[in-house]
Amino acid sequence: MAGSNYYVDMELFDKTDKLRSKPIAPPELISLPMSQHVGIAATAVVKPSDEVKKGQLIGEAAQNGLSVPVHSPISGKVRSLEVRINSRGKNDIFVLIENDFSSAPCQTNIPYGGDPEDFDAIVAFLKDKGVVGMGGGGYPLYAKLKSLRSITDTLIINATECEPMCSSTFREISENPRHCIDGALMLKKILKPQNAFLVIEKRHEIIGRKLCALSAGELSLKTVSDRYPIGDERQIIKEVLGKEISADSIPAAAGCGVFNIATCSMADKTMKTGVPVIERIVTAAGDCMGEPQNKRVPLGTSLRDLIKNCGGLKQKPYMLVCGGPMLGYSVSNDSAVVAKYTSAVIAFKERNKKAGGNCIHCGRCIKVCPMKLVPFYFERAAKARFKDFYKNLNDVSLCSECGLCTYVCPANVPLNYLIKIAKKRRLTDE
Amino acid sequence: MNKLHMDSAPYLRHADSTKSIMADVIFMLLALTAWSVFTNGPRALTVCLLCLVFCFIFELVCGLFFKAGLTVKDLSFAVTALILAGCMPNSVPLWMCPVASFLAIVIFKALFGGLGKNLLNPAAAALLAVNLIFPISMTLVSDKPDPLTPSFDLLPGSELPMSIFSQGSIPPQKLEDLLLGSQQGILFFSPAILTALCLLYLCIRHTADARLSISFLVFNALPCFFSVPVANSLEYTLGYLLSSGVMFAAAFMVTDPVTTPATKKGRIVFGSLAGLMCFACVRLTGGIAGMYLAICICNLLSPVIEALTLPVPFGTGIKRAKGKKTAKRHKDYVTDFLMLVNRQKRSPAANEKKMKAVLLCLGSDPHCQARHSYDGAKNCASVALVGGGSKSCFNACEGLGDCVSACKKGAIRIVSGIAAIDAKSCDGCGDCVDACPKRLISLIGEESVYVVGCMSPDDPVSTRKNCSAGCIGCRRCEKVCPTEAIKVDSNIARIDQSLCCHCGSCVNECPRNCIWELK
Repeated sequence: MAGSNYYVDMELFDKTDKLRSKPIAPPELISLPMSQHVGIAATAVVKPSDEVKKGQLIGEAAQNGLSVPVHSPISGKVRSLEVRINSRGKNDIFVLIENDFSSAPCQTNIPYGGDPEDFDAIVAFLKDKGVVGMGGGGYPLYAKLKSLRSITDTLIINATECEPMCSSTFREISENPRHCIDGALMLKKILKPQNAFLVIEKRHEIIGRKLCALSAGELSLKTVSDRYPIGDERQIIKEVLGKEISADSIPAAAGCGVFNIATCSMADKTMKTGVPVIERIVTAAGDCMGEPQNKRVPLGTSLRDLIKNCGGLKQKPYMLVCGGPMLGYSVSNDSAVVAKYTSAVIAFKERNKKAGGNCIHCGRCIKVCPMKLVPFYFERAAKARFKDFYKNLNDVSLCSECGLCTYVCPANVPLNYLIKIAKKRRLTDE
Repeated sequence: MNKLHMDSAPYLRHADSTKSIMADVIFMLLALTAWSVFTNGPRALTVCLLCLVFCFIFELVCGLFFKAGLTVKDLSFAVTALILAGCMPNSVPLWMCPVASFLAIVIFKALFGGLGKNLLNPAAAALLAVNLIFPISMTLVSDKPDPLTPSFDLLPGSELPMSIFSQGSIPPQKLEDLLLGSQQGILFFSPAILTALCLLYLCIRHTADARLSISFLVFNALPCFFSVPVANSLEYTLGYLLSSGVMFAAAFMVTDPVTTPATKKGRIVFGSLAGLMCFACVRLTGGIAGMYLAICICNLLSPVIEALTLPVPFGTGIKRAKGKKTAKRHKDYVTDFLMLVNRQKRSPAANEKKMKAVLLCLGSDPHCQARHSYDGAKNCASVALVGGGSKSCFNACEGLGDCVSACKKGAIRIVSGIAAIDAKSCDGCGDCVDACPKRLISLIGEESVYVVGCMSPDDPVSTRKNCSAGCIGCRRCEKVCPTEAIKVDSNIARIDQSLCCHCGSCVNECPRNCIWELK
């Protein structure tokens, strides 16, 4: 790809990938959101003052449609159920649980004991344990597996980092290689693809080789460039297979299954230990974070507790972001919580100071666009106030919202907003 | 820790800004200025300074006049000024500076809407104009120009290289003179090697696109090479490229991003076309004006070139052929334009019921507080994308005025943080209804008197917490209504205007004062 110097530097300026991830001190109170995945929120099945154990079912998956259950990450007493705004700006039911610090495990934490090749049994087990994509998307794993059943030609295990500044995937593969590989092999066993690849960035090639050695030749290694947005599944498929899959069709249609390696690791952990998804690895970074590092955090931990465990903040941050710096969601205060899709928490010291202005037509957005669109046309359409333009601008639905056009724009045109507005308008108009 | 700032992803920004891009170009032009002062004497400095001062003044005045703010901050005026100065002969009368600056900044830039919207490169267009209007003043060069006295008393100086080339003869200078630029003449044209170095720097910094410059130079050189007998062609071509200002144009005029296509292929096409036209115009017109003419014509063609060289979106190349895709997108623009025109012509049907717009939110500043401080683009559609809006209620009016700019009648104002619609001026066109991202404005029959000013379906507890004027669905209005016109559905009361008897008992009953009377 040309224009290389416009790309976001994937080098981690906090060097969080060098530090071993540690568990945080158990929080006194957690607030567990019922919607931690793409799809319908789970329904809370506990009442205030109920005693819950670690791994106990708190939210039941909705009967119809895309949904996974939510489990308690600690043992303790339910304080209350509250309606709050989650980090994605939607109203959500939060179950507040007080910790009794005994971490008594629940009896339902039974490892998977069935046939290791039984597709239906494994998928049902993974759904019960609440496994979703751990890369940041939060798409339920069971639904993805179902959509790929018996049509998978190629299985791609994505060991790349999703976003700059994040290093949670890298820590996961260096600390739990066995789980990662066993999970990947389990997927290979049930999906029966013709080829299986492990994809990793060039800068992590050494650990990629070790992982492939661990898989005993079941996975073949592919290295890809270090540039964001290489973690996007469409970019990975292009690099590995040379196939371009447009944003309005799904990779499953081309017989490709792309799974994040952290998801594989999580699936394997739940199958071996029987403990559902109750914690995840989170990168705490940013120029305002006291000690940037990776932490193993129980779900529902507030950012306040997480930050306290990372050496506090150097000063009052300008902005707190749940997720990476290119795709994450900013939150209004530090009582927001870590959910299954929260791959990073970033504290920024100050706002970006670039002055806004007219588009100067420099063409950098065209150069960097991984979906090969012409982002400044969206700006032009919005400026022209063509009400029906949004309807006919068929290209906007092909945008993957990676944010690179906004990142490079020298005139600081709010392309991120314009594209989201255009997409929203198209949805409501149709 | 409450009320942090919120914005939409991405939160990182690349260091390059419009200002830094302009500063790069200015830096290179200043290097040329220094050399020019060294070879041409103090008059070169006078010309450059005058152009800078006048461009600054015009840019400042235009920015304020057209309410564009302090557009001088982006430094684009200085680029234009220095290019203008650089293309003037050393004996140019000093009044040429304000004239050219006026043409460039006011006529060819500000009137089109400022930087980024101009159709022509301001410097090239202004130079074309002054070259056509004042051909003598713009082409006479002198051996010893006086820094201040007007140029009328100067002897007709040596001819410009450009006019020599139009006759097909070989320039008198030696090759090393052309390269190192020891001859005098047009201020920034002579040191070809320095100009080439500037171009190299700009390309390395990604400020200029090498595709434009290289294709421009190549397609200038090729016809030049074949237009004279073979024996002389190399010398002739080199002389043409190095002395006639083509190099300067390649570095600073055809690389202007605003007036060239933004696509990679489009840039190669543009550069080639401009190169061919430049040589043709120079040979035919016999003057430097030909070069500016060629650049201006190609500037006008650049949107067309761009539309024909758009990239094929990722993953759609297999489904649709390249040409088909471009044609489709092209057609979209036309249909959009036609739809816009048609909509404006459409008049409301006579039998249509007359409607007026009302805002169904009373969450003005004292009632509904901000949840976080919003830091993104300042319009309602954008703020609604970040965390469901900046106010504590999801269904509160943000008051950033998308409806104000949509209203053709000027009937909407922002009063204490929410939109206020003047029912007298409203003609019920419904543009504001579409503009509101939260769909808080609705059209009601003109005879309606009472409305419930809330759209929040939240449960009573959170509504009470978020807003002191929100409907909590207490059903007191429903019970008191004599005609059963009010129904409470999902925690909000709704008035069926066809049943309403305008008795006003609901207004007195409402504990939250969220039913109000339209005036």
